Amino acid sequence: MQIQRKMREFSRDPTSLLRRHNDGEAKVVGYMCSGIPEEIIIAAGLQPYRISNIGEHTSSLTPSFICPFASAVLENILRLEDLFQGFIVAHTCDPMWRIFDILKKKVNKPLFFLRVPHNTKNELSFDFMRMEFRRLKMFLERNFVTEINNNSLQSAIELCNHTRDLLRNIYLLNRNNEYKVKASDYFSLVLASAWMSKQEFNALVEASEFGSGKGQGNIRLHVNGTAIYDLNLITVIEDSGGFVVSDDLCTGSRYFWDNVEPSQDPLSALTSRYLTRTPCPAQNPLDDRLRYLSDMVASFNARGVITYAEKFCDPILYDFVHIRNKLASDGIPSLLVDYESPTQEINRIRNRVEAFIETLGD
Amino acid sequence: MYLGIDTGASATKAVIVDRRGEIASQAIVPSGVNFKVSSEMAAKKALDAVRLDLEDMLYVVSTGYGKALVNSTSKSSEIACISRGVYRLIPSARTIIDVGGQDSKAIRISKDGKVLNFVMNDKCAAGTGRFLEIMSNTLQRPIEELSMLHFKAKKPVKMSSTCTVFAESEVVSQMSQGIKIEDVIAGLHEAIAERIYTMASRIGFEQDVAFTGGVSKNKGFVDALRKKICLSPVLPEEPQIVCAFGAALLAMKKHKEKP
Amino acid sequence: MKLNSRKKKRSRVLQTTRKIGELIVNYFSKAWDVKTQDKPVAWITVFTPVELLYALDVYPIAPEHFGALCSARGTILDYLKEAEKEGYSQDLCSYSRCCLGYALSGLNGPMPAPDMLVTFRNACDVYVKWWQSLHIHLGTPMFIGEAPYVLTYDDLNNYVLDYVVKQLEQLIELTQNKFGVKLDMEKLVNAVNLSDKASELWLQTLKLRRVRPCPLGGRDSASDIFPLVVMQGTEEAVEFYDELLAEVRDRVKRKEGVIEKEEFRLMFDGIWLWHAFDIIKYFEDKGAVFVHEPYSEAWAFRLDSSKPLESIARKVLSMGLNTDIDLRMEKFADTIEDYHIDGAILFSNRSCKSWSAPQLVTAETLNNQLNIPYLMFEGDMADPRQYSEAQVKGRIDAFMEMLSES
Ligand code: SF4
Ligand code: SF4
Repeated sequence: MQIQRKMREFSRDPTSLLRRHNDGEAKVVGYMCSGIPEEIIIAAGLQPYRISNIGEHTSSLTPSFICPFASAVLENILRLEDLFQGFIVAHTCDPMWRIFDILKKKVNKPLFFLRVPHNTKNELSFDFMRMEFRRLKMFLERNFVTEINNNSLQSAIELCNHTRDLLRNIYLLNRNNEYKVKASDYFSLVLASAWMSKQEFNALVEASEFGSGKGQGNIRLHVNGTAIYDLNLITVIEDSGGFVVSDDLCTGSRYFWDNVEPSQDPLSALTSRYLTRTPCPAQNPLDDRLRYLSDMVASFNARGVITYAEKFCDPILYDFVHIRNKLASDGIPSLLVDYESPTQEINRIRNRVEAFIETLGD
Repeated sequence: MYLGIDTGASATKAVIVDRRGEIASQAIVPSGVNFKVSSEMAAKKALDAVRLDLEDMLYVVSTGYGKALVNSTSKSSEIACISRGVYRLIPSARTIIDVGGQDSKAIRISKDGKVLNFVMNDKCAAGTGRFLEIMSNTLQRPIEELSMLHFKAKKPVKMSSTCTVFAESEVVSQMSQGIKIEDVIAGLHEAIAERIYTMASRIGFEQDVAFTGGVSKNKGFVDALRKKICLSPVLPEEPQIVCAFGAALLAMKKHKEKP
Repeated sequence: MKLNSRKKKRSRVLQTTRKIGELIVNYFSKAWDVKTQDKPVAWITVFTPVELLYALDVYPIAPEHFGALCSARGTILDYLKEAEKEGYSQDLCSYSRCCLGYALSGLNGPMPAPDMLVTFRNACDVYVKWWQSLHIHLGTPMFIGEAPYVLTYDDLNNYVLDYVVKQLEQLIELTQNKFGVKLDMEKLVNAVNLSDKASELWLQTLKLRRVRPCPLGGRDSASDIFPLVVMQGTEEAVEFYDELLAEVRDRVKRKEGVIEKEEFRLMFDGIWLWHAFDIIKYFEDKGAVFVHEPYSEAWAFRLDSSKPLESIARKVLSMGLNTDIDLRMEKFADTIEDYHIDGAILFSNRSCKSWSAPQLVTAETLNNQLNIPYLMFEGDMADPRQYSEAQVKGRIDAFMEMLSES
């Protein structure tokens, strides 16, 4: 299908999109985490752009035992700095926190650090997070000489909600034991939505048909992890007889699952959306995350869960123990695969994924 | 007759079984860089021994890292092949520890040979044959020699590190302090046994425990692992070909199931 | 002639430092006393306000400290392996692995089971994951506080401070409800005063390290910090630092240094290597003394008992790793000048990603802006398996040679 091919191309070389934004004189603000409120950036008349680890060169500025993802992201920022007008870093895990430190010493563009509360359920977190969103708003207004008002926020929210609706509807096609959308296709869609302008993306998706791309595999699986930009990690599952039906990835459902509820005060609406969204591996409570995972697995009829872990990724490596135990008590087998560079280690990864899917098929 | 081919990181193995699943012939050749070549060599060697041609094989199953490059009827994972091989050779086995050149695995199987659970080593090479290979390079002695030296050890050194990089410099410094090579070797075997024990503990041990894989030919290592898990393992006669044997058995099974 | 016996032992540990062992023993035995009296014990991370817990009659124990202790005594491996068997990766912080292993193997040892788990996310994000894991394994009630990264000193007075103060109030309420205790205001003021006093004494002591020859070395500071970590707000801590200050002053008066011939003054950036503690001595034998460590200053904070919660909140917020990198680097620059530092040792600690991740940038600053040569080496603070003594000593030799030539 046309759109899918196009999206795949983007996911191989997102920088082309970044350059296109620059050619069109859009002011691009880069960010990494699915917990950054893109709506505020859009309301400021700027183009949000999700920075990936594509290119995969780890930076010489981080020690060898930091997750290769954060290191490659840092390298990409330093390499592409000129194509951005500013950067926003969220406080999720230690590496991301410290990437901000390093950037502060290394880049000359405006930099913002969003202090996301780790304890989402604490009632104090709301006010604090709202203050942080307000600080972000002021940062953008100050640095880009613009004004963000309730109207512009409302329309940015509508725009992003629409994108999320579109993505979610495609995602839901696989529910009820259906095999309608290939995961490698919809993940490339999700990625593209974080790189393109939302208007353009929405129009493209609306004009296309989804739901005919059946994969070869038939073992229904859930994929758990952080940000996955290298879609080889998904295709290797499809090539081994698996069919990915659900996920909790920062580049998957965690990005688009929840909408912003309409409200008189858009900043508050955004705050609650980002605070109560699909639980993130770096945050508390973990129980919510385990429950979410169980529910996803049940409602999409997944038969097993593959957890992908960037080597040295604390959030996933702690969680895995609890995820494995929880799933085992639900009767769902799980597999942990760690990696540093998916492309280079694809055989090692395939070896494990195949064996896992084979045991599920027995 | 049925052929199983296992393309491992360091050696490629071929096993031919007859209609009853008995081993008719077997061959082991170094893998080199080209699995296609090594698998053809191994197959030819095994076929020659029983004076047969590839066309005489009713079904061929390939497994291991190079399985996609092998000209076979179908492909299967090492986990499935090893389990099948062990189930046939040692029906009482419930836990399998397989240590190969690049990967190590622990597998739990049911009493009818079904895979219940398995774990494989993470990115770190410390619990695999690769670790011993690197150490044998560092010590400039072949692995076979190291394996036997193990039993001469009086005071195995405690390797403080199992990280391949750190262990290497530790070995060098121990040797320079005049520590006996056999004590260093025994220490290395204990270190890798420890690592594998920790990994296998994640799925637990149930008797009987079978050891397979090329590294299980190393008697010193087997001794260390046996002591670590405090259970006596059962070893197949030829631990290195169990996976290829299992592949051949799978070939037989798949052929019989074929409509 | 008698004096000559000192020649052999060129470096000296302070008399007061030798008392630490006893303090630690008492500290843990008291924990068990508390436990047997059915009073609550909290497991805390080390930058949690202990003053508050003392005032609530909750006894704080820090598993990080336990990890360091097990590592130093060579008993850590069994715990680490226990955690690894459960599936915790060797790439995770070794303090956390030690503690999880201890919890998973039945809590048989010096740390009594917790009645409550308290942490504030400030030094690292590992705290959150570690505490969650404990909570799931043990089922103990948990409080995870948030101390946002301090970007400018304004944050110590604005909504960020407010947020932390309110969380402290939450913690008080939770504890009161949970254990049926009441915060004793007098006790709190008292604990805050004692804590402030201990910090003051310790900071004064550290300042004396500016003197040549340096009267207090790394082996002292690494141990002497203990009362400040978990005993802030107690009389014992103040007594200890009183005595320590007196002894150090005395050394200064007598112009007596840690080592006989002080040739180089070094700074150590990182957590000490508890299992390889003798590398400090290795430096001392080469004529180098540690005169400053950010680690040693991390727990000292002046408190104002007229605003106890606010000043405790400021302390929770402004622990070293939780303040902006530019502020940290400014402090580095001042220290290097004040303490006459010749070189820096940067310990790239596999466990502590929070500390180590920006260290290469720190190193650049040291080298390019402050003109201080540095040595960086990798290892782990508590897991002896992730460290190569031979390799590190080789690098130290080379570094010291370089220093002597310049
Ligand atoms: S969540 Fe994991 S993979 Fe992502 S930046 Fe943090 S440590 Fe790295
Ligand atoms: S060593 Fe570092 S990562 Fe571990 S608990 Fe301490 S601050 Fe956190």
